[in-house]
Amino acid sequence: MSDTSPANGAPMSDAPLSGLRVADLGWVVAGPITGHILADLGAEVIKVESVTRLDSARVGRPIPQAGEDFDLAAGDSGGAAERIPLFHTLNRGKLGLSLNLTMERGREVLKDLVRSSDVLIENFAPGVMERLGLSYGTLSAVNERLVMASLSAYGQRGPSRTFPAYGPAITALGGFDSLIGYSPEEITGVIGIAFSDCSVPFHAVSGILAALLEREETGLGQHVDLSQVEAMVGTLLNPLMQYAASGVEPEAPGNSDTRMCPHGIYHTADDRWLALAARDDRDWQRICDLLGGVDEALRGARRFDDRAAVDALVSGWAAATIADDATEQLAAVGVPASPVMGIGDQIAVGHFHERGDFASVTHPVTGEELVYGLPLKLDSALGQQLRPAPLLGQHTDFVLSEILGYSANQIAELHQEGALT
Amino acid sequence: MTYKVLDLTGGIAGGFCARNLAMLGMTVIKVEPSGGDRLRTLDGPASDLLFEALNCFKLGVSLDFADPSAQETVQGLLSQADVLVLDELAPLYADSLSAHERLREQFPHLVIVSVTPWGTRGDWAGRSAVNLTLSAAGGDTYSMGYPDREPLTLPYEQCYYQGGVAAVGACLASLYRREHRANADGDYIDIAVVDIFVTVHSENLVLAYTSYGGERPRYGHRRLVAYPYQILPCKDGYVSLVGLERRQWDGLVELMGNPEWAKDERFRSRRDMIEIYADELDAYVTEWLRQYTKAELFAMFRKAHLPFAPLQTVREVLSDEQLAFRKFWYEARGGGVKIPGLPFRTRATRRVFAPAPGLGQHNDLLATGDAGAWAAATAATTEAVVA
Repeated sequence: MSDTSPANGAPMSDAPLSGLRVADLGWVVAGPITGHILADLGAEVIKVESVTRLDSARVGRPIPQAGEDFDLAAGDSGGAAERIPLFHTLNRGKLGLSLNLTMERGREVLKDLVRSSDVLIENFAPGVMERLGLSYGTLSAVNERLVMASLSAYGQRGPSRTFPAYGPAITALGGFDSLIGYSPEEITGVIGIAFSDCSVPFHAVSGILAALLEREETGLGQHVDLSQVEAMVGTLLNPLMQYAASGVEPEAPGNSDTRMCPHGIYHTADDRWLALAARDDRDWQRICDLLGGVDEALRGARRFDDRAAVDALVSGWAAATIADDATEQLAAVGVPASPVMGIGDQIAVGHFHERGDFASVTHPVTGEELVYGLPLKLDSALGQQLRPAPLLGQHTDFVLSEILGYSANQIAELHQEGALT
Repeated sequence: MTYKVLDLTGGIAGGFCARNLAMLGMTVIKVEPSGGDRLRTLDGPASDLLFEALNCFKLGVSLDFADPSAQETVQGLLSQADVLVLDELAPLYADSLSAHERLREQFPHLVIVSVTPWGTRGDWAGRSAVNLTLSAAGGDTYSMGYPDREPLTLPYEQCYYQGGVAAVGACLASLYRREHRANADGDYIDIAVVDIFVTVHSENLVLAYTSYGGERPRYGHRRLVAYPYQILPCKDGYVSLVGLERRQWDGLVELMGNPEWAKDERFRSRRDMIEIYADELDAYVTEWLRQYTKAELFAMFRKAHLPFAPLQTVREVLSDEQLAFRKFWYEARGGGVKIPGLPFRTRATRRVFAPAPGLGQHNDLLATGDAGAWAAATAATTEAVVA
């Protein structure tokens, strides 16, 4: 819908979503990731936020300034809102519009933005948009072609719609956490990762784009009502079908897999961890060749009779081996293996750089910084220079004048009234 | 949607991608070797049902790939298709970049979606992988499990499912581009399952690490944000207690009857509570939780408007009233098996369940010529939608 170049970067005319305009009211994690994936693919994404209710992704441990030791208190109080890694990462490539939606004039500006947008993203609790007078019904009356995506824990309808939930409650309710632990008595869940927040956006992108493609045929937008709990359940086909077939409740398998042996994570000589698996007898034979001296009683399929002995053997070998060396030896003979990698490890891997999994942006406050690159590698979207996350309200005047066509007087008035805070 | 998708996949990620495209209303033909898809040939009812769950809504043809005419048949279908989905287990083309490039030259209109463990480009392209090693390389494993024990993997092929979901979005984006460009050609999509984890699942880590050395270490059943942020046992399972605001901890204390220990001066800072006193606090809270079942606790949490939740098991998820209300499940095998749907439903999303094809069930499509095959397949899909 837009032919306007973003304010701080070159337009990507061949990118798949070039010309698509998105009003991104997403905040915290899941909504903003959805917006940045669309921006990565060339959409013009306008992040709508307000200093009156600061996005919590603008709070936390800030990127240090020169000469500063550690400024956690400032970050936690929102005093370093332009220096927070989470915000910079999840909002790269967007324009920043500051808008106070609790004011009537602020809501009027949003409706004008909706009038010229293709997509609106929001991940408030169900009912918030209605209370603001910005329900799908209201907004679709403003623009019948609008695709509005609402990402909530349980969806916009149903008996649980208004119950509060953060990401960890979503993985719990979605059956995910109960499958992760050392044993049924030692469940840890996936609590160490914002798993649902990072998974849901890909579903949301699919829903938005499916609705846009349907619009090609019908001329009408629609409301994409996404349930994050359903997104979790939807990828549990293996345990669901296992239960359907056996009637036995699937348990947390730890690192084991009934079909593979060995299949585990082993401590290495350089105090790291190595994941490896034998998918079949051939893999096992190749592992045996590396280990040397493996007892005949554990050769071939007999290894399944004494998994503990196999694990002990592999553990002994791993304990005397450097994780990266072991990985290369195993990879050279076609056996699946990888060190358990933290982010420092990943940044040192050439493969990930070759694939563009890391990218530099230049932020107006913190300068050049490294963020993750495009998750979706479409040839039509590769090779672009990523743009940084916006400062709070950085493009407010640009959006109002260049995109919405407001006069200088109108903009000054809105500033004066506090609608652009 | 009127798009035509050829599914040449043999694994979970690509198969799940193609199935979701079918659920969205596209016409999908799955091409299998004449011996059948790998899942058909594995023993056991679970793999049979998994085949059903991964291939419902698709049509199916089988080809003898030892016969050179099989490749001609596939190419004929590709000449009329909009999308080709491939993975490293595909009976043709697999994950060879040069084969994919030849396909692009031959069928410039085609959106080619390749979903492989490491991608088709880069040093590690073509390396072997299983879910365990992808979870390890992707970074999630690093943050799961206790610090003094081996880290834990994402289980049940989860990495492949996430890769499949990502591929759907990428495919739709390319189709959108084709709709909006004059003389639009196709696209090549190189989804690496591991990329999804190295990128988006890393949250803020790349910048945190390069700014101040921040990693995401594992702390077992908790995360060191603020107390409470953990999973704890109750009478019949576990509950997840994560409260990002002080009032949520206060609400829990009130539910517990405002015990004396909660007034301890040491427990004023929620950061101290999680970083220094978490074991002690967990013991107090667990003692209270152990008196109640998950259902009782969830009812209390809801009444108090606290964002805490039970860890539902697979069996419990299947009877979740919210999921039933939203008509999330498709019923297969005469209603005996529930298959999860998409987490949203657009107008064109399939409402009526269509089972996975039998081996070679739609081979008669091939007798009608390339364009005829797709016309018949589209008609069959349309018929199933309104059935």
